[in-house]
Amino acid sequence: MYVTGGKQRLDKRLSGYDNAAKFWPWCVVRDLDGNAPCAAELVSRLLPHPAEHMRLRIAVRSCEAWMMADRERSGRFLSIARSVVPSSPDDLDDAKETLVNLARRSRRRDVREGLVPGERSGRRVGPDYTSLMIEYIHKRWRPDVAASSSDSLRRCMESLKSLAEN
Amino acid sequence: MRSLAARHRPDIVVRVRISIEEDEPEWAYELRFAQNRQGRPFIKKEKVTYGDEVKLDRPDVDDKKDPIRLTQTYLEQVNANREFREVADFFGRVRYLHIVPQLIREPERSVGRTDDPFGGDFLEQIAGTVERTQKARLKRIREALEVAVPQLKELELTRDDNGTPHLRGKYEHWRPHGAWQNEEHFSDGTLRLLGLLWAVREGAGPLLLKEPELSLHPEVIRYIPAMFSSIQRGARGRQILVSTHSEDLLQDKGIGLDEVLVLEPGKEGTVVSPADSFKDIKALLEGGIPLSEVVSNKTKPANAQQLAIFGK
Repeated sequence: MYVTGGKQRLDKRLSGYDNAAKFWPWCVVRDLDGNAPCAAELVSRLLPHPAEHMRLRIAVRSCEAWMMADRERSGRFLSIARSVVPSSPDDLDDAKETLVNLARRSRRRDVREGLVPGERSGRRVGPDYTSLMIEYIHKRWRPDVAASSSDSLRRCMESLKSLAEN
Repeated sequence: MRSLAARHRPDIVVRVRISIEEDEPEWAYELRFAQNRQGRPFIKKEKVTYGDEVKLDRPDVDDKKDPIRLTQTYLEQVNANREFREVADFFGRVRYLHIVPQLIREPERSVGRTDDPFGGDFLEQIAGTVERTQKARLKRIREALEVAVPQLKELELTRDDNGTPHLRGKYEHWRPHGAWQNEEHFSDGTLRLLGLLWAVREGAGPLLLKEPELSLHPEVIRYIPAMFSSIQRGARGRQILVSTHSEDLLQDKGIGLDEVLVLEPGKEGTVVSPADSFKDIKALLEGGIPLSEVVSNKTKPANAQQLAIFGK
């Protein structure tokens, strides 16, 4: 697993990853730009001639959308009513902001204080964000359930399956 | 001992403000000292306030009559600090741990020290912990260490025939029963990470850490802040103060600008400023530049590239 920070850095490296995809299957996951119209157009612009084993997947809008797509578990983890979790997270403009705003309504103090940024912090997320999100993904999140509410996740999973099978 | 930056009075001044309970007044402790002609330190001022109340203000009448008294603080004397015992206790709870791996491997190097911040008696400290707590903590530490050292399957404290404590780790191996190694064979990174994980769970007062990133892989370093914040959840939270040169440590998106202090050395001494006092830092961050990159560029030495031609 190769992690690089930030969309700009990733885009510069795409041709490098594509080069490696001549030898091994690569699945690259990237957030959609806030102002790009659609995922397919972005894919063809970034990699017009992808290698055989390359799969460039766009997580529509952001990965937080995929997390909320398991409404039951995210609602329980955040200690909020499940009905408050958006039903089509792929349609959200800013899933990260939505998630943080949901956390403001949490019944649990550690969720509120951990996910919501302090006023003077100058950040978009709270101090315990990384730890709480990792805990959620490892212990609560169900990708197959989430895939039924998120088309972009479903397509990414199918893409991975096809890479694995070939 | 003196302040090199001062022009006239090279006194050292230490001022600490302590807020122990959220809705109670703040304590403030100030100590100003210098050295006399024989090079021995003496107190020029020692003041303690609790909110608006002054609990102590030295030199007092007795100090002026008997100046030898100014070679000792009231803070360090149990019968003199009664009015502000909370402050003394608070300072007593502060912990500093900076494991020097060689000292754990060869404890003879730091003979006789207790509470050694560099790790000379680290194993003794683990051994001295109540057994149930010790075992539980070592179990959790092993589980956490598994991230960085996947072959480490067990971790326990034992004593040899001389009574000297040793940390034994069992490594997964082609040998069906694994291979036990003791701390002498642990890598620097393993020992430092172990020390870090032990220290964050030991005690409840403020914890001071110097460059926790040393000897660790960047991928491990980037999750240290998240590890701290998960420890600090709830009522058992403690203040953790960290000095660092690591961009990886600053990658966590939850680190607030009000939590980062930037140290800029200059001719007049080092200036310490909170990161949120720099308008350009805020602007760069809002523009999508990672905090780690912004702070690193702000603090980097101006002509580091000169190092490259040292050999010429």
